[in-house]
Amino acid sequence: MNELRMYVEHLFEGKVLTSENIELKEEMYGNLVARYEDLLSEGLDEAEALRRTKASLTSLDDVFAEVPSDVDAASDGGAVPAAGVDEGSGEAENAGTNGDIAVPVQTGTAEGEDAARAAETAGTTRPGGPTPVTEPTAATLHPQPEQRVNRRRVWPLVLVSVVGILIFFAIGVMGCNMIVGISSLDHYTSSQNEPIDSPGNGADDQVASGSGTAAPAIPSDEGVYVDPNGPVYFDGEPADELVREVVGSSSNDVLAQSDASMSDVDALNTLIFNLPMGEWAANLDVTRGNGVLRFDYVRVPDHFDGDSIDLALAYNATVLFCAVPDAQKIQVTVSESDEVSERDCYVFDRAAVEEAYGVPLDASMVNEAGWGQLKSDNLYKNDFAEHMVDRAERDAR
Amino acid sequence: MATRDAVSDLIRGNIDAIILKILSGQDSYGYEILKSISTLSQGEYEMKEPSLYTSLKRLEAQGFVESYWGNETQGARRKYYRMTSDGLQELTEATDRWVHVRQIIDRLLMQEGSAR
Repeated sequence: MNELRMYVEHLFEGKVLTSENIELKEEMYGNLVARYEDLLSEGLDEAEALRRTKASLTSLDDVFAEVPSDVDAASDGGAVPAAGVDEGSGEAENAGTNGDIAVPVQTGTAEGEDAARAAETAGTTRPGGPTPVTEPTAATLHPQPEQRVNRRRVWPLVLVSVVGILIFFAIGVMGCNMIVGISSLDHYTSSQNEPIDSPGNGADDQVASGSGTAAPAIPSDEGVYVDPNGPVYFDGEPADELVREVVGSSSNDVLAQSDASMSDVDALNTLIFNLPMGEWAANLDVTRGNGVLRFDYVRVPDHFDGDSIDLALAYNATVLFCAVPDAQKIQVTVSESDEVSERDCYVFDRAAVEEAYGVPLDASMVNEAGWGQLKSDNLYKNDFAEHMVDRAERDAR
Repeated sequence: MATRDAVSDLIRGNIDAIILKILSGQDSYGYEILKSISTLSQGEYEMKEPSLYTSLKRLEAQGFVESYWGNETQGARRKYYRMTSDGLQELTEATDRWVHVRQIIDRLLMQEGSAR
């Protein structure tokens, strides 16, 4: 399903990650997954199901171009009812349709409070068609809420920032819950900054009833911070997908392959594919001897932050040392989608990594407590991952 | 094709009400709503996903629907929509509107003499 996740991320490339957009992204992802699974259940093979799923949503242009599409719908739909206006004068319904068309046009000038009146005026002074004898209530019934929407759009700077900040914590990262195993959340946060005790945060209803109440934690501006309510921050910013994958990756993902043998290529591949960035992993090589496990990450999307990639690399190396007792060195290369020929090379050394954590990395760590210790107490700390990766970095060959 | 587009346009003018109608039965999420529309129209109308988001956003801004996250324990989470009482009222009114407009259009397009 990672491919759909990436696909959605790709759709949102270049979009400002407002809380609204983050939520929309999660919603879209959920719906795409539902479609994909539905297509599979209809008997399509995975490739075709994936293709059709992607084809169902190829661009956000229509989603964000709300005003034009409204006008579109109104004018298209208006073609026939317009005939009704000419003959059947005085029909409230048609007046309503008029209002629909007129409101967006009027919005530019009707910034004042009297939105409803403006809409009325728009409805009655609309040039062209004969003026229907409208009942004001009927005429404004429909346009009024539309007007509200549009007005909000007129003040994007003020409202978006205020509302955005208010609802950011409540809504913005709700979606992360889907990635973050709930059970592991408490654990990860236990040793982080003061966990915010917010009893009665009926998370589900927070979204609907809106905003301000979910007291936002002030995320640490260094390292990874997992808010108990779901949001994840990395160096004070909302975490990107990769970081959230690391946070969401639990010991359970590793359990089946813990104590994997260096010769069990299938188990190693499964392990690596299940880790963050797994979809770009390739070329596993265990034939180098001396406990060297080597593979590549190929064409990692270049929109990921370097620090996020570092975090994922550090996490993955840690996991592999835990799960593969014979692995002494993990050699990894990373190439990004925009510079395929340019590869960064890393060699993680078991002794060095264990030294950083201060504990031996083995199968005994592969459980919730062990994971909490590795992640919360170390990996999420400021610069921990970066140091580990810096230490592993080698000149490209 | 042109006919189909024209039909789609006519339906699209009522799509918010159609979504409200679906939500009046039970809460639902995006893809399920699309499926319902396809099924209920017996495959005659497929709503496109971008239009769905636009429509839901509009309905939510108008206070006709509310959303909440489902508690799927595994896989992707889904955002559900439920109709508010305002939504129910709007659905009633929109349905009345449609019936009324349909009568008018019927009257206009199928006048005596030209109707068969």
